[in-house]
Amino acid sequence: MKKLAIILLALLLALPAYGEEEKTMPSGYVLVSTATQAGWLPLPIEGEQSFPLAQLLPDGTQSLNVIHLTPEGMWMEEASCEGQDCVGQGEVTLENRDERILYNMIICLPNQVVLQLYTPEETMEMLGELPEITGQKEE
Amino acid sequence: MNSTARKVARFGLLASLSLVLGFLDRAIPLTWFLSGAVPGIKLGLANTVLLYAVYLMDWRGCVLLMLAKVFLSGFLFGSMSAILYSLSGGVLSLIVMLLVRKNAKVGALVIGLLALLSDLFLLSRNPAPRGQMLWCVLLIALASIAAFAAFVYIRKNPAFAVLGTSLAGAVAHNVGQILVASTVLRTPQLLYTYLPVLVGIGAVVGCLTGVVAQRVFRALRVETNQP
Repeated sequence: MKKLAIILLALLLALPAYGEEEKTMPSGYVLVSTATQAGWLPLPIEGEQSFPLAQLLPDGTQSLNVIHLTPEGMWMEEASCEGQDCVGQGEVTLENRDERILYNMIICLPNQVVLQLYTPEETMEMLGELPEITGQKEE
Repeated sequence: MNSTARKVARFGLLASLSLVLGFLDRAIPLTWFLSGAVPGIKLGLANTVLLYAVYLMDWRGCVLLMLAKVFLSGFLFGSMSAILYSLSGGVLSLIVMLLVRKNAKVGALVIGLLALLSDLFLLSRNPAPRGQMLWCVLLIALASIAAFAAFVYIRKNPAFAVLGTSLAGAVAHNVGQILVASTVLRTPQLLYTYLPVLVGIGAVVGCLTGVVAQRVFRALRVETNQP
């Protein structure tokens, strides 16, 4: 009886921890490529985040792109480029990316920024491991 | 007017025309018509000036005009990135147009066959393409149809050879731009997402600007007949 109680207690203690562990897994990762660097951003577990990407372009001009991340996907919230084509490309999610002409991409040619949305499995395949959750700025 | 003066006048006229048309290109963003789905799509009216140059000037004049167009237009309206993409597109487009100028019919046929082969390759990898891959297959098929239609049309009407040169130049322009963009941004994925879209749209737009160019050549009484 005492043994059973210990097992039940252990299970009760493990359950929330198991749930917690499931919630810490992002549903996708965004690969941000620029002319000078590339990096990964995980989608937030909950809530929404804006990630400002400021760059000094090769011609000396300062550019800014604000990437908006949600638990389901991403969109370009703001860009300093003239055409604003990247802002007009709308939201990319893991659900709608297959139907989009540009698949998982948002492209800002003038500011030399390409965003690509991948599932954790695809990210694992490309990197061999999941990227660390660093460098995110919360609004 | 002596021949040097004529060349200089012609060069100045075409260079200024390319600047004005470049401004017009920016004023008519085709992206709006595609609900923002594809960035950077333009009619390419400024590039048609190079098409005129290919038939009106020697290759040195064409290269000079292309450089003038890229740098003047870039410094006036664009940025360093715009110059980079424009230059890569301009170089490849000019090389292809100079190569097919003498036989535009064959140029259109080669583009059509290349597009058909790449479409068959895509289909063989995806027997029932869905979603984004379906877009790629459809757009490359569109390029292939446009190129074969241009080939048949030029065969029937040798005076419409400009159509083939224009089509080959437009497709090459887009290929050059994407090759450089994918290298600069270290994103080879652009080659199988963005490139098929631009090749498809480029082939259709290239045909349209080719028809306009042919009308202009007829008015200017420039000989563009093909054997």
